[in-house]
Amino acid sequence: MTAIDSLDLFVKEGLSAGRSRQELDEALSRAGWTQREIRKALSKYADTEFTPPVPRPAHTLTARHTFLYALLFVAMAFTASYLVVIVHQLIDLQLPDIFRDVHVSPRRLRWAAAMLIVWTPVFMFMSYYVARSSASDDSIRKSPVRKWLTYLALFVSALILLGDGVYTINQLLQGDLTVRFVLKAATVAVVAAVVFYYYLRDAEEASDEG
Amino acid sequence: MRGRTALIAVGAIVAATVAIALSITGGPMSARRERYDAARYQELVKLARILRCESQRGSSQALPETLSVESLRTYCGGIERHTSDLTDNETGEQYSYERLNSRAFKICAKFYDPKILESRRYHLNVPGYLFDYETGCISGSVR
Repeated sequence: MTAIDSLDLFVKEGLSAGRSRQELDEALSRAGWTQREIRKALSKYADTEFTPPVPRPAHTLTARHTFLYALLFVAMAFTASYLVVIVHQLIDLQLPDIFRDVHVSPRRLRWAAAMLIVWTPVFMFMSYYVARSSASDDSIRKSPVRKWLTYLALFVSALILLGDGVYTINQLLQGDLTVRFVLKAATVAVVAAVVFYYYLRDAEEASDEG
Repeated sequence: MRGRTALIAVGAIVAATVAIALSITGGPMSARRERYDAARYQELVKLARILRCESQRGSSQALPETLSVESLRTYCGGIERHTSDLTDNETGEQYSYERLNSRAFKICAKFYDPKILESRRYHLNVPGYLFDYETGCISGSVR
């Protein structure tokens, strides 16, 4: 039996024996369990006087949660990465180098614009929709899908933004103009900071709620 | 996911960036004009190659007086072309042909903006020929 299973068993038996949650909490703390683990174990049972202790419904994985979060994070990834692309293209256009810019083309700029025109509204709508749905239906916020997809989204975003960083630094090493490099690096940094600030907080919240 | 103001800010930034980008590169109408210009350029290059008469390099070819389907039949050992190869696809006008002397010519098309072609890296690869980005003409001589 794993440690967590024995914790669950202890809580169950403790509640069945009529011990109060407070007592169980104290006993477990003294034994060395963290507050987080104790809270999690206790929350598995409803807070009533009823014996035997009433289990709370487990938060199930549903296809709907997967769809919502997957779409939200894909939209976020596209919005973030193409925002970087379009700003970089604008920087290149406005601060042209006498050397022929291989990657400056209106085609790339227009493609980035098209991506943003489609995916940014999707991202905004999905953010709003998920927040609104979570308000009425708690199972969405507590869905294990949310935790996993949040970290997956962070992972993909990290890869994309690090890739942008490598590309920008490479341009500098290839003799790109300093001002251009600074602006491009700043763009990547700002977008990365925003993405990570919001979603890391979200991911931590998701893992707190378990 | 958190903060409606943050979400709206993101939307505003993206909208502003896209608007700036499209105002700089031009919207669909402008893009279409660029494509017409690119097509005109390609057709002028094709005409220049025909007039250069690669296949009859040894003999001295005198350029035709005018450019037409008939005059091409007697040029360079006989060349068959459609009228559409000699006319602008959009306007239907014939490309202008000027015979400077028996060995030099100038062909022109009416471009919306030939200067853009320079930044789009359309470079003439025919030796001895020159595309003038100001006037939209190719001038060259037959060897």
